Amino acid sequence: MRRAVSIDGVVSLGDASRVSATILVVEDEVLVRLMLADGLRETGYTVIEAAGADEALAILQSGTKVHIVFTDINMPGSMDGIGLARIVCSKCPDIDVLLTSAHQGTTELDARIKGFFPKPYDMQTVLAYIKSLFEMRDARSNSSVVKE
Amino acid sequence: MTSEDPSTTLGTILVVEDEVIIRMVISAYLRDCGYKVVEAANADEAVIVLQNPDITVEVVFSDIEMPGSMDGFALARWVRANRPGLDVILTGSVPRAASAATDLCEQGHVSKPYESQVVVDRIRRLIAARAARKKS
Repeated sequence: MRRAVSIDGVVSLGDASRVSATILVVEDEVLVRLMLADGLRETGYTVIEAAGADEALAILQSGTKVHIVFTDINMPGSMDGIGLARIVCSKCPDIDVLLTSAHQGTTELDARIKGFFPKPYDMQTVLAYIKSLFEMRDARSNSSVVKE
Repeated sequence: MTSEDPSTTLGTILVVEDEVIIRMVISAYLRDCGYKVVEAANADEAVIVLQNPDITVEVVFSDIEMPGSMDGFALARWVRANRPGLDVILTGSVPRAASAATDLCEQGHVSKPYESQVVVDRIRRLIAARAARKKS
């Protein structure tokens, strides 16, 4: 069955303020990325996958509506997850940033980072945390963010 | 890895594309049409996915020009050698690629820029043809 979903994540439900909850997952390990993306999609979120910080920035610069960025820290490319988080926190303050890494406590995290998950993380813990973040977003604003 | 109920999806498509915006658009369209989509940013990632026994892929849709140790042609040759039953559709914008792609995969090649629905039609035909072969 076809659904009316546009690329910027706006679901046509007859209410322009209702936007589908979109998470940008940034992870260079394809199977790790796939597992988290699958879990989030099954929960009802719209998921965009990026294999590195450069891809993530290209997505964000394209104007695609993203509510949460969940990014690994240690990734190849011109920028790691910390660099990406710094840019997102300063340029897109509306986006909540979550970090994950196999190396714990090596970096002092920016106070604007909403959470850190040491690897290997428990999927249910991440899902529950993301759910609570969306609830807090709803409480902050009148526009409701809906799952598909 | 979560197990998928095969009755709820039309099949799993592995989309291999290094341009993230292009990958996002075709992947979103395929999901919208009812397919489960696995995204790979290059051929090396695609091989990791194809080697995972928990993931069953019906069709590989791959770009030809990609950075990394393998391009789309090399990936198609890898699939032919290691997964002979798996259908591959190649896409690319270089004209010379078209004839080479036709040699490598029966369904040939979809020229870039493509319309998402053209890709879906091609995938649908491939999956239907395989189902017909299985029946006979």
